[in-house]
Amino acid sequence: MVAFTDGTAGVQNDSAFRDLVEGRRAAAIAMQRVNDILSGVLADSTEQHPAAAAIARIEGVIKSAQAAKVPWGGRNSYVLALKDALQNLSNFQKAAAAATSPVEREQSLVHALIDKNKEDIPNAQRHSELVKEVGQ
Amino acid sequence: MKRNLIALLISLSLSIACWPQTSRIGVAITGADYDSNKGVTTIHLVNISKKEVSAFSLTFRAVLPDGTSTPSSRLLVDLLGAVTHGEGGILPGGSYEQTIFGQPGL
Repeated sequence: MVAFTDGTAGVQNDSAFRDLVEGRRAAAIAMQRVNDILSGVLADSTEQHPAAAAIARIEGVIKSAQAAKVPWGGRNSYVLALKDALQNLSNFQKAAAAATSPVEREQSLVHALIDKNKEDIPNAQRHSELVKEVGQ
Repeated sequence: MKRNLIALLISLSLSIACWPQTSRIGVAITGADYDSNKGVTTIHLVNISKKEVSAFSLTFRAVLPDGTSTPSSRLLVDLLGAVTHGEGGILPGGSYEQTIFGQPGL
């Protein structure tokens, strides 16, 4: 199975194709979930540690996903995308700790992650809509 | 010697590599090297299509020195993150190296 950036795919292995499509869809869903959490945290004006608050909530989402008794397509990609967000947020905490205005710095970095996800989500969605090339 | 032996014994197949009439698309394996110190096999691939590759699957099995072979394993490599963030996928004619860790007997 080979996927191309023009949205087509050559498929001999249907299982691999399905995993790729489901994985990309799941990653988009995970990024949206992260953005919802980050936006919620930032909306709380009393929150002094938005990264830590978001980490706690995302960890809860990961646990729920991993606890599902019936594996669902794309779960691994979903969890990986959430863990990527955790890593970013952890890095934000370190960067903010060294800043002169830690809370503002952390908020700024969280905003940047939201913006990055906003760019990545449609890309992941678009690239999950692969069309099998005829005759493959 | 062991390195060469193992490299030869690795049986690799890429789904699209043997498609009939597929000169217009595909990724081909050009070789594999085994690093006995790291216990890592590096597979060398090249994009023989005319389009940029964003993902590929790789199916392989290892034939061990005693003649037995491991079950077939599949690796799905998604380069979408690199594509999205400007590093790109595998361009036409471009090469790519994929490492495989911890294969039994390797």
